[in-house]
Amino acid sequence: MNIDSATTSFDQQVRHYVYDQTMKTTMSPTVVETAVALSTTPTEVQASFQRLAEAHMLVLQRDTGEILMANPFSAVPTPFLARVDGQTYYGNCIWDVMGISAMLKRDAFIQTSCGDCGTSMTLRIVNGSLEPAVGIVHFAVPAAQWWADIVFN
Amino acid sequence: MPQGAILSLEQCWQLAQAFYGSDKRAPEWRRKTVDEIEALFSEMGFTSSFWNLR
Repeated sequence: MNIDSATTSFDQQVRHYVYDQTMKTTMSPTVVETAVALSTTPTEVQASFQRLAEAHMLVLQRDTGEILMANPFSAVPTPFLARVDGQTYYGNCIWDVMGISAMLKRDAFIQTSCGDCGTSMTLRIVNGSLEPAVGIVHFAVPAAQWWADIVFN
Repeated sequence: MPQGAILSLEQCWQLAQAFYGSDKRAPEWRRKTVDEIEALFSEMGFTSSFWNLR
């Protein structure tokens, strides 16, 4: 089964709202904020968030059902910061924080640190190009297992 | 833990653009299929078993 087919047109509206808010404000909306914006109930939004999570379009916070990740964006502060047009966005990993620049189609100043030794790293993406910088990216989890524990990954 | 995979920063930027370069607000947006991701990995030279999706 194509898991995308399990989502509904309402889920598309929810996804649009979630990404529109996140991209404009840096903050992912809560269940209640989404319900108010779409003139529906929190229960309907919770169910939609759940379907979107099952389709790997969102990652939810385990205890609350609120958004944890709307990839590439993190809804909570992380060590992967992207400064874009004076706003600070958080990515889930180095891949995602670069993805913020790609999705916004804006220049970005990225601040992070080495996952091994903690040394700071800054990157600049300007006019769609990554400026030369020293560093490597380490993927620890094989691709087939990325969604087995996406928060760890 | 196994060694994992090492990418250059530029490779990671290419991957970021490939996965996140389209606006997820668009109604026509959909996740890439496994076939599409495998083709992308292959195009980028990610051919080791680490990148197998099935």
